[in-house]
Amino acid sequence: MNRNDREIRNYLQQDSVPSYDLEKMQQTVRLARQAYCNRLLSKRIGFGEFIRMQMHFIGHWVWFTQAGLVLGFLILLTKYNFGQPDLQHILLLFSAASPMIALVGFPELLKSYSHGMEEIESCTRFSMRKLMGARMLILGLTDLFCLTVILAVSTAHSDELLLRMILYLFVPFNLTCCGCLTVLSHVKSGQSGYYCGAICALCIAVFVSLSFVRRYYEAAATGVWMIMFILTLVYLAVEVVQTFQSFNRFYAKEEAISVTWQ
Amino acid sequence: MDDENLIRRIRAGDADAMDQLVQKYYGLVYTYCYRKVGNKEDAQDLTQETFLHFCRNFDSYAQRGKVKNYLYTIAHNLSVSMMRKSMPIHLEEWEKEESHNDVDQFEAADSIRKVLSQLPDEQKDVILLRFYQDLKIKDIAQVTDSGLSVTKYRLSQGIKAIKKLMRGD
Repeated sequence: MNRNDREIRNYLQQDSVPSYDLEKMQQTVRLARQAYCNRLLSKRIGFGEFIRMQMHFIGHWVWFTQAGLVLGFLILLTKYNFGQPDLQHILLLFSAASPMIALVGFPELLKSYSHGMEEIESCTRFSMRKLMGARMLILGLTDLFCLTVILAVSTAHSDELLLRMILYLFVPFNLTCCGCLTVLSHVKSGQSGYYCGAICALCIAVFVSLSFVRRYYEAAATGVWMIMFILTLVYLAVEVVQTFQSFNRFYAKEEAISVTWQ
Repeated sequence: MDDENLIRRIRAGDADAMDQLVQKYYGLVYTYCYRKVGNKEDAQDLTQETFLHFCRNFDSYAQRGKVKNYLYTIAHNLSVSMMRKSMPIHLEEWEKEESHNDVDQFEAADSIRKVLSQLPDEQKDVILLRFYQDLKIKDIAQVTDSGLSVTKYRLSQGIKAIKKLMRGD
């Protein structure tokens, strides 16, 4: 600051400012603290962070079981030298066992109901719909990843066509998911897990028994598999949307009841 | 404790650090607000609103410059919107304040306020931040959201106008 500026500053400094009220300052400190703490509560988080957060709540046993299943399939495929007819049968058994991948995820999706936590979860920071949507997304993507790995290794180790392997793996899987999601969108209770387990067991039993009937897995049957794949895929998409929306309806009703009660 | 440390603690969720920051800068922000609005009550309210705004939007604070400058920026923007809404500043309200003990001092303060009130708002902002808050020109440019050369120009024009008014032209 040069002499000229200092002169102006000295001139302006003649006008002093009255001291502030200590009480007002303390009030500001108190309110600022409150605003800061409220900000922590209402802090918005991004989609990625929300999904990461939800991944931590999914039990480790889900990841370990799915990894174990995939590893089991891979070891069985790569370690043992099956002849072509045996290998084909092993692949068909993989196809029949693919509902197990879905089965691992469903108890996690249903844990709010099986542990009687839906009432608490529905009134916490994130809506039940968001929580279930996040769980469905995480578990769905994990299942898809597992199936893709099995598909890649299976087609690399056998003469089976990729398209047919996709059909053999995804039709039983889709069918199981359709059944479990139908249960989930209509029955929201601790019993849902048992129903899903029963559906999965039924699908596995049906496809294991089908795997012994060769004509269902020949080129001539591909058309039927294709139709089943498309039908299950469409139904699955509809059921995912319906299940997702059903959480909103269910809790909107609960909210209405609680408002009347108050 | 330095600002960087305080901000780090606040980011980690330490509410005591926020208390310390408010206490540290309350006086400075209040002084600036008083110069802007001209009366104690409004200045205290504006200061409070500045800190509340800072706390509510703390996540968007990128810590690119000094905390002090960021607070001045908030205070500046809030005072601008406050003045836009209504709030004319009355010289009579200034006169009621108890800060001036003797007649000479009161007259000097009165003439300074008259001088400042004749300046355009942009020039007045630059003068206040430069001579009362001791900010550097680049910091003033940041607070007032204007370019460095524009700020320099406003400062020189403001100084010229003050000198002219000081001489009583």
